[in-house]
Amino acid sequence: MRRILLFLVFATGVVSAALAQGVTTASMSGQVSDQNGEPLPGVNVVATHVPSGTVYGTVTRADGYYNFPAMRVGGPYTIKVSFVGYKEQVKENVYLQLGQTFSSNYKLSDESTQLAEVVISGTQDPTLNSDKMGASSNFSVNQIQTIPSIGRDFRDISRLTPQAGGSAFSFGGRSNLYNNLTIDGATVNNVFGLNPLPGGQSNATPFSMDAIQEITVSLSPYDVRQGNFTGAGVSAVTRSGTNEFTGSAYFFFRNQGMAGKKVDGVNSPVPSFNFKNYGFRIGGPIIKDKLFFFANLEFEKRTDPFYTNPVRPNKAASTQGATQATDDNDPETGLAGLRDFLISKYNYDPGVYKDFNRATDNIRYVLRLDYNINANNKLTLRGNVTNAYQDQPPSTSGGFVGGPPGGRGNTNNVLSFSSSYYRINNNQYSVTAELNSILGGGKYSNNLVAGFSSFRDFRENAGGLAVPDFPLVDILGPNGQNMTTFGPDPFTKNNKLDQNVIQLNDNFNIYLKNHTVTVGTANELYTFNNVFTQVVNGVYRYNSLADFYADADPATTTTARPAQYTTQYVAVPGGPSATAAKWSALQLGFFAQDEYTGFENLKITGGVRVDIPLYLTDLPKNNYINSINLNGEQLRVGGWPQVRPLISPRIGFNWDVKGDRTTQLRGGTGVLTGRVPFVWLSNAVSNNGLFFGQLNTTSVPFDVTGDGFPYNFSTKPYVGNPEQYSNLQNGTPALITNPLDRNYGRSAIVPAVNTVAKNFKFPQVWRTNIAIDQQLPGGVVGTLEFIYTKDINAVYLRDANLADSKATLAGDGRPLYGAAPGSPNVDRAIISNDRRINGDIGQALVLDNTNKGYQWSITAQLQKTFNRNFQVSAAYTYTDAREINPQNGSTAGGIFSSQANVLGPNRTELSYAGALTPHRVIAYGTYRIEYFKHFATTFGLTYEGRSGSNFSYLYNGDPNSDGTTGNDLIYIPKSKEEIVLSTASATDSRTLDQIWQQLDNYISQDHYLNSRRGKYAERNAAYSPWVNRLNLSLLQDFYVEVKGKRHTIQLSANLDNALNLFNSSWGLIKNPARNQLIRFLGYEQPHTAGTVGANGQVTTTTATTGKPIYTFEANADGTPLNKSFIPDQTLTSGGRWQLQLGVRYIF
Amino acid sequence: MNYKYKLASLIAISALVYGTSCSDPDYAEPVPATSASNLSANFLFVNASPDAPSLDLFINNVKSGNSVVSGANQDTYTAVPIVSNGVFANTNIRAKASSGTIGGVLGSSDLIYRAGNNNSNNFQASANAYYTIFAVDTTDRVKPLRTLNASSFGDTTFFNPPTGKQLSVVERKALSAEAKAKLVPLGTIPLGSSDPGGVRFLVLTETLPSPAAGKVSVRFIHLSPDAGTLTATLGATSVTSGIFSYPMRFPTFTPSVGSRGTTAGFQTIDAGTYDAVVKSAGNEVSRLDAQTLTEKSVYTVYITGVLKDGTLKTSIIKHK
Repeated sequence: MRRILLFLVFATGVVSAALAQGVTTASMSGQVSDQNGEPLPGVNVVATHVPSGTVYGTVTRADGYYNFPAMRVGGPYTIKVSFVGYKEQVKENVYLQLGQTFSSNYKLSDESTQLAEVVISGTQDPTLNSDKMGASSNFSVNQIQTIPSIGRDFRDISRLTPQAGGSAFSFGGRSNLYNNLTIDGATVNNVFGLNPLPGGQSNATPFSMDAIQEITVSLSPYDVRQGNFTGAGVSAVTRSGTNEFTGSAYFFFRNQGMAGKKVDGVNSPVPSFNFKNYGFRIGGPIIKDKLFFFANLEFEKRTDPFYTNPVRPNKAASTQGATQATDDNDPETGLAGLRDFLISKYNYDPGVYKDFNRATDNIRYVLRLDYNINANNKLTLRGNVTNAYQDQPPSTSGGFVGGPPGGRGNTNNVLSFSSSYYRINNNQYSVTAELNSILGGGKYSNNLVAGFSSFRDFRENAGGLAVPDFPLVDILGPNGQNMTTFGPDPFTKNNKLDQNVIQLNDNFNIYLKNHTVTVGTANELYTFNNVFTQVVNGVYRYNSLADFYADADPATTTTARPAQYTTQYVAVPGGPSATAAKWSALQLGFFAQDEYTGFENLKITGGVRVDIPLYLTDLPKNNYINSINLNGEQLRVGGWPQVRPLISPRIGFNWDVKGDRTTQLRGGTGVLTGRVPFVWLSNAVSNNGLFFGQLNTTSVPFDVTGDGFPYNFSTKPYVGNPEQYSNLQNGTPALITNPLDRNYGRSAIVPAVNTVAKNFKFPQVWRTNIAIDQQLPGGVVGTLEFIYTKDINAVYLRDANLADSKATLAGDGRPLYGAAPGSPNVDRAIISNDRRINGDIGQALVLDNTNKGYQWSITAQLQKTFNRNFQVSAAYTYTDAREINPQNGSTAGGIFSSQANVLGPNRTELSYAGALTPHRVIAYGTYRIEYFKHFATTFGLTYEGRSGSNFSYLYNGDPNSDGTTGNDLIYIPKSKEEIVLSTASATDSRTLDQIWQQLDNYISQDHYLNSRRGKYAERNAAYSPWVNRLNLSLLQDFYVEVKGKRHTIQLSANLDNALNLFNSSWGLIKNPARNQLIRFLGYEQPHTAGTVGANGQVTTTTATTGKPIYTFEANADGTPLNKSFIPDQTLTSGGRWQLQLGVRYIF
Repeated sequence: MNYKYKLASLIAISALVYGTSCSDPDYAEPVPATSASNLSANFLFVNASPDAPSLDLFINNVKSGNSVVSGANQDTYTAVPIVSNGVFANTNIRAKASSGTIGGVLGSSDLIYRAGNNNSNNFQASANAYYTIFAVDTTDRVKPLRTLNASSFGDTTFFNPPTGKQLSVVERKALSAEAKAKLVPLGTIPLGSSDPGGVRFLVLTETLPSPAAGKVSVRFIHLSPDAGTLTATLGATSVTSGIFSYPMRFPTFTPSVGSRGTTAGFQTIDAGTYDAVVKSAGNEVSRLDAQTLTEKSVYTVYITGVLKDGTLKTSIIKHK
């Protein structure tokens, strides 16, 4: 039987899985036998968590086995095994890792044997043990405290996982939105998915490192209790109080004087900033051995200047790259006058345009209670709060039209007023209750977790000010770049997201001979209330300050109009709050599994989990849109996917090959079911074509003001057609009522809708891993681990209203899509060459699935644990990951438009994943030494060497005419004859031959491009240069013992990117100089204009037959672009060294 | 089963998975162009600046035709490769001094065609079309400031934010120094980059007629910056087609734009030998005698120079 089973395991590749136990606790199990190996039933086994006096007691079953489920993480534990007539055995100094099942067997000698009490030390190798099946990494409180982390961020710890990627918090080449983060078993992910972690938008970590006891990163857990991720499951447990009062108060700081001043040999001053992180933790008994508390309070404050780039006041004081100021134009004089004008005319103070700061602030606190109700029941209550905010520069986006050239944040060209900066607030509240019970005298156990997490994200104006009802205005300067912006950020008004996650999990364990059977349920209820009324106050753009004055003030003798105006208006009765995406969903999970230990030296676990997503909210239907047939497809605006159970079978094994735990083969295979970032579903709730209407214009189609059309500057928002909402619901669209519109009387275009396919399913992957762990000489443990993941249901976005390609792009070969669709101001029709299938609606995005996509990695790792104070590890991982479209983005539209492709956005090729880091070396070590009775020094080191970030070489523009700019992969020409080049502008002094020569030289010096001549560039196939990163930490303790208690003063230095300190050309992060390498200008022969029929519609057009024309632009200073990469000079990228100092008191 | 055998099996399976996984993404095969495009347009350059040195015309930064001294023109159109057929502005036009620099306001800078006030767009050329390019204006023409008066050379207009009013020069002078400091110079803000002053371009897009036997097509183009409105005659025949006021001062043409593109039609007269006479307010200001206009040909009579300096000069171009 054993042979058959083993054969099946190997032959089918069905390998794997570490039975990672519960994610908040650890477990212990084993067998007690007599000297002859006969099982001893009824033996007393008592494990005591020494610091808290928490006692776990049981008696062995008939087969001699015992189990302790749901034990406190950490230790030390003392285990006593006693039986009448036998010598007692004691095992001490046992430490339990999060999720670990500590295996401990005993052979008792009868009392007649002349042996003293047996006392042994309880160590278990973290890798070579029977619990480990799948790929996972565990980090103890010691490592958390000593591993270098300048941000005191748990992600710096999780990044030590060999399979972690270069980008933040991604693993195995999968998007970081597919991870699941739990604290004490409660989901604290930002499940909405605007950012993978709560507080991510305000640069806050969700919890303090001082509050954390252990962190586990699971990549392939075959324990069916774990779910809701297809990336990695990251579990953290908070510290607990003990019988002894312990605590710490700490303060860390850094500023611009503690960072590198040079980047790659060039002086590059650091803008002044101030960072402080301080707080305290304390834990202790409320009732000795019974009730304990732990509390942590932490503050983090940072101030950075927003104004770092002065616009030169005159040529003499010129700053490189600044062209806004001229002999005749001092922008600062104009802006001072502009502020006076806005105050006097509109009573609107736009704020200041320089010398103001960004505030980053967050407060985190945790309170935990552990209650040993009795020997069989342990209750844990935990609450944590994070209140965080950060000021942000105004968005560069234009909303539904292009943003201003040059952006809105401060540069040498742009001086935006402080009223355009905004503050993002991320508040998180979470409570958890966990009850662990032992039932039936140890034959059963139960784990019950109830959690509630609440996320409140909202925006204000920078400084925490209310967002006024005022439009945003961009004013360009003499060089055509944006010179200033005033008015609130267009995406801030009414922008809020409320999320609640209610969680109820229970699992019940049954301990049988050779079997541990688990059945249970894991359920999460989500509620969302997302209001997002982008551009609702309108965005104006003027070509000059004079044009603004002329438009805003009728008293001027000249008249002018904005160069561009865009707004979105609320079309639903009830105002902005009525546009909220307010909905609920429920995910039910049920599971059963069996852990079988009946084979000698082999542990097998198998189980199945069923997840059932349910949608609880009826959504308004857009019956007009839903009545339209798009080449056989009927959209389902307001419809949810069908309810389908998602089944996840899993099996894992751990085989001690030689029976001496020196060679271990482990692995497993199974299906993991994750969540979709709910924002992608929420897009379909809010972008239903019912809530909003749009006005976008860049020309002057209306010579007169009509219909309240606010083409002249107005501080009042546009009021749309109040019947639009009901009309669309009734199946009849609103009609264009402006008689000056050439489409007068026709239905208004519904700009864009998002829907979800009827058969859409949550992401699922089939993941398999197999690993060999080998005890090597010198106590080193070597691991070789292979993980393969195949997408079963990957998320795929398509535009159901994008017509098939119309032709082939001449001189290239890729499909060429139709001409731009009609708009309200030009003739509109369903014409043969239209980009749209139906001209009355715009983009119709459908959230759908594909089974294309996979990831695999192979890891070689060496680890050695000398003792609890000295550990080292080094690993190399090669990863490959492919996906159909990006799996990262806060909107469906954003994901769709960033799908770099050749064949078109609905036919994206299977290519490299955006989160892929092919090569990565990670090494870390910690060492602590105590000396002279009062001193201790701790060293920490991490080294990461990895491939740089990947990117795609794209055209700047839209040569394939699919309606999206910047998503077309370039063709890499072999010769000048293969590309039509043109000068970039009137001031371009290069001949066409010189432009080709510069492009050819660039391609030749770029390793990737040169290797792809004559082919298309592939998505995410080019890489920035290799990244080397060495971080160091030094903790110096001075301690004294007072009444048996140690009091320590600890000074700390944390050096981030130490290589860069030694040489400013080391440790750099380099970014692509220009990934949109070649600018598309147009076609030799354009789409032919159609003829206008009697009804005012264009009846036919012809696709272009001409070749596309491009330019390869020089640098701003006119020199050729001849290097692929430039060093990142920002502090946040980590490309400069930084030092953080701290002081801590520990008792 | 021996564990070594099992390990070997395992490694083999791993290798198989590795081998099947590691492949390049599957992208379509491109179909690149096999030969260069073959579009061209025709350019003829006239140095109509009163005081510019000999100039060379560059199309897409390649010299086009021969060098041209002040008041002269190239004899024929030169066919030049272009890279779009009247689709968008991507034909780069500039002029450089044949030796040394243009001087004046431009100094060592090139004369550049800019399509718009606030941009650096190129010229939009169509395949097989004909363009006559004039370099006009004096080298010392000041960089223009925005003006609201009809003379095109007014003063800067200022805006007073506290009152929300525009101020004339006189009103501005009456303000205190503190109040003056708050003024916004309206005219200077949108300008500057487009027109640096000095010599600038006038580009005529030509629709060249095909006169019948015994006939010629003619027109008159006024290129003197200070000569006011002019009339022209060819013998007894008045020239009625063309441009009779300095084209850079047309009311519809924003004087701040550095370059201008326009059109001008032709009229048909009998072929023959004519005296070309140019008059201002009925007074002759320039003439060019005994010009033989060959049948089936197309001509432009143009006047350059500065009236106040007495340097007006009449010339003639044979387009075909």
